[in-house]
Amino acid sequence: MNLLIFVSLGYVMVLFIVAFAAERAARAGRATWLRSSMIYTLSLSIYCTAWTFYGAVGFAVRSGLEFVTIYLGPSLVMLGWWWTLRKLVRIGRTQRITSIADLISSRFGKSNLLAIGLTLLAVAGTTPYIALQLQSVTQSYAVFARASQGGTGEINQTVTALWIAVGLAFFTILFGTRKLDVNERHDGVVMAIAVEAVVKLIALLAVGVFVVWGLSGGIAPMLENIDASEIGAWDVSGGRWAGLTFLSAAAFICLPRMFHVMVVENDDERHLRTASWAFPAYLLLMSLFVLPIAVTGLDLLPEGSNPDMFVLTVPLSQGQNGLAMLSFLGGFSSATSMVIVATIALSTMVSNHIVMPIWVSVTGGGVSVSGDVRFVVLLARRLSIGAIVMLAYFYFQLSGGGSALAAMGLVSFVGVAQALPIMIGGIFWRGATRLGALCGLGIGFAIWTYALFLPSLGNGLVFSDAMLANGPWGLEWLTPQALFRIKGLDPILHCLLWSVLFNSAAFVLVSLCTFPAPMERLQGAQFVNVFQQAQPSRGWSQGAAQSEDLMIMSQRILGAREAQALFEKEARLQQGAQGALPEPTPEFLESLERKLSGSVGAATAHAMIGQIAGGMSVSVDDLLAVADETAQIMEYSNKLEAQSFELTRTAEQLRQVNEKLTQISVQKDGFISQISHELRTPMTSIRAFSEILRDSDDMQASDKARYAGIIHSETLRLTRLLDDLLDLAVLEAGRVSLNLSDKPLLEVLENAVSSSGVSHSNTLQVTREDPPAEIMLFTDVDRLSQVFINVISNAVKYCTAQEPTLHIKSFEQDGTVIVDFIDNGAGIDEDMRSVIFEKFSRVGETQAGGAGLGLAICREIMHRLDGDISYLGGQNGGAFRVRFPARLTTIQPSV
Amino acid sequence: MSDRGSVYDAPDTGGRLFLERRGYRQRRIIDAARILPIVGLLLWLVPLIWPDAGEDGAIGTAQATLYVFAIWVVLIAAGAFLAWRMAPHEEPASDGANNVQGSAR
Repeated sequence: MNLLIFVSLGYVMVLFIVAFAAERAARAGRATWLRSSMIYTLSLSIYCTAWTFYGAVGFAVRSGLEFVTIYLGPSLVMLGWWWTLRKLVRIGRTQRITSIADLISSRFGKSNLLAIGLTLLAVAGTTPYIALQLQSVTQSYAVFARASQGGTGEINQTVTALWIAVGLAFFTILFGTRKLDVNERHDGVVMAIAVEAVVKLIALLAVGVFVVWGLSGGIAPMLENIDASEIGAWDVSGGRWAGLTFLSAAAFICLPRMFHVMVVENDDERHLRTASWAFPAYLLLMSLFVLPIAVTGLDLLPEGSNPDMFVLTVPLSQGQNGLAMLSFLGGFSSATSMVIVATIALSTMVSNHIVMPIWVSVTGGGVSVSGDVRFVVLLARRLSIGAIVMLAYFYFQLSGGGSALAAMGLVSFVGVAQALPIMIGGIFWRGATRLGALCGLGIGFAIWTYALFLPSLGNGLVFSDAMLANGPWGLEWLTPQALFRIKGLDPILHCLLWSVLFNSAAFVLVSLCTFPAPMERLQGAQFVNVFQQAQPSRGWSQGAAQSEDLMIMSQRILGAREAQALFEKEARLQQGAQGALPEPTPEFLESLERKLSGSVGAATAHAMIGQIAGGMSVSVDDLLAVADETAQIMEYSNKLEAQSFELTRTAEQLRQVNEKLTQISVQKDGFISQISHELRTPMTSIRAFSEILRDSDDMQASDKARYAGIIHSETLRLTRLLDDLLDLAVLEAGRVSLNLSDKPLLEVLENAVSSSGVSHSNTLQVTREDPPAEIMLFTDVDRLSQVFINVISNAVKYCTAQEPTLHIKSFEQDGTVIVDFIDNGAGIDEDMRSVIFEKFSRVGETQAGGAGLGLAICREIMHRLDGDISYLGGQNGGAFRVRFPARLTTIQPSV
Repeated sequence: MSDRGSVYDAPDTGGRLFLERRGYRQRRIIDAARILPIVGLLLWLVPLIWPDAGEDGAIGTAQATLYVFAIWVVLIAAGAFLAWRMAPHEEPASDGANNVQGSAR
């Protein structure tokens, strides 16, 4: 008995030394061998707890070969590492994930609510499991005590369990929370559990070899023994075989402690490749001798012996005390390694997702308060470790260490398996949303609690027998272990089926119906496409953060030296100079957040940086990055298209402008030559006649007067031409000022007709279809008259009919006045109609002697009056239509 | 991280449709690694269709054990082989070298 305590303590001492040496080696940088693939593979062996070390044999005694499913699932997961584990490890490394809760909270937009939910689930699922380890060690202790003292040495289980619990908590605190590592890696602990993995493997193999070759006499007789035993008949339930394989596979990924050693402690992704075959081999060796030991135990030991202790009692019954001691150490190893890693994983989750957020919100962040955040984190972890171990101890006390506890292993598995749908969905499906994850997890957790966890505590403890048989309030379909009236199903399988089914369904359905927040979409893209993108695209907005504050905060979390080194390195990168603090660029904030999240978890680190940086971390660029790759490509091609369209349009505009300029230049040339021509003609005659007057002395007075008259009229014509030109120039330049006044249309028309001088002469018969007298105009009446007079005098000049008549017709339509001037002449040829309003355009060579500016001036005036003048075809004569608003409101600028 | 990852990922095709021989081989090894667990699962589900005890042709636990463990050994061996073939060989990773090696094999 004392020997046993001595051996146990000695073993723990060895572990201490190993862990301590490993830590020292790691600090000294001689840790390469510590991080080999083999150590990684061995550290995975914490999957094999005391429950599997002792319990597998018990399982085999109860259900035959079915026990092996517990190992088949993990083997398949490891062999299928390329599917899932590789991705998990890569995500864990790039995002500096500290726990499974951290992974899922990070994936769904750093949601702390989700992290808390998962932490609670993990605690609820793991605590009974730790209690199970306490029970195993205590029981094995008791077995030894009985054997060594002739069956009289009953030990006080309560005290033993308490001592074991305290010892384990102490060891965990010592090595699990020595430092706050940015990578959350524990070289000492990993080394210790690797050693323990070897110890338990050797122990089980030794017992197995003893049983097969020592007791049964070889492999062939052993196989015969197996077939002859009570578990020799093949009678495996298909549902349980497949269900347990799935369950163990799911738990292998989702168990907090497995996630911790597999993802968080992973140092090099290549280790996974080795572990993919080496760990199944380890599992194979662990299960190789389970059946022989079970059969031998059934054969040798008296009826009613506890099959869970066969690994210990078989060697003891044969007087192999040394072997039994080794076997005890194997079980002890399994238990301690599991408890250590599980509590480290859980305490990380509790401190990062429950304590730190509360601390941050209570104290208002890392800047304004004094004190070391690292101390708070470490203290939180240490307290959590103590609390979790003690919780397990009380659970052990509560359940009385009975057989109810033995079923706890699978119950725990089902509990933690609830994280599987959201985890797998999270890393493979970008459409998974936070709300979906919350719903899925919540429903799964609820069903597990109701249908498996609470009933498993034993009849009458929480649920009464009546309720377990008939459901609450007589609702039969709600019977905890026969939901929807499906009875006769194994409770584990029953709960697994319903919880995972509803969990996944809720997760998928709610995800499909909800829309993720930008942060979720960014994180989702980073997780799902972790192999495609080297650089994260999420960023903090620059400017708001103060380097000073960041420095202070980082020092508190990372420690002064490390934080200073980090900032110095960044400053050198940024400015190439030492001494100054680096600018808080989004990239720097990004990397800082990752570093911090390695210590306090993603959600807390995000919140802390957020308190200093302030700015929202999602920029427009990020949102663009969120968009699907296809969308990005489409957007890009759209941009290109728009650009090329723009270019085409600009080119077209340029071409048009160029054309116009050329045209204007041509027009200008034409105009100048026209002007010169128009000016030259009268000038020529003026010069000619003035020369005649100058040179001829003997000239008759009548000739003199005639020549002077010609000169005079040519001068008048010149003056008129220049007036017109001036008028046109003023109009075209838009510099003309309008004299707006009120006048009836009738009066304007009458004035125009009389001014043009046709009313007295008989050259042109004017008929008027007078407008209603009430049409009042508000416009520049004088300019309008000018247009009318011009049109009328045109008719006088160009109407070629025998008895020329001009019909003036006017009316108003929707505030627009229309005046038509229709004569009975030949009209204007179709092809000339487009040019008559141009400057210097004259129809034919007429005697009228106009400069061809009249209609051009009319057009300009009408434009200024917000109206127009056009040639009206199909009127059996020349016809002009003048159209303008009765009340002028907007004055048109020049053309 | 990424430098480690690069030797570890499926060879980057760089957008090429066809790979040279070595990259192609690497791809198929990864395919095999993906298929392996599925094969293992199917083989381990075979016991479900065995007749139960008492029925005609019932199988003893010893036989079943041998079957399950034999498959286990085969899967481990296959996994180890694939892991070994997948391991990046100590070759310069330049393109030219790859092509030479590819044609040499």
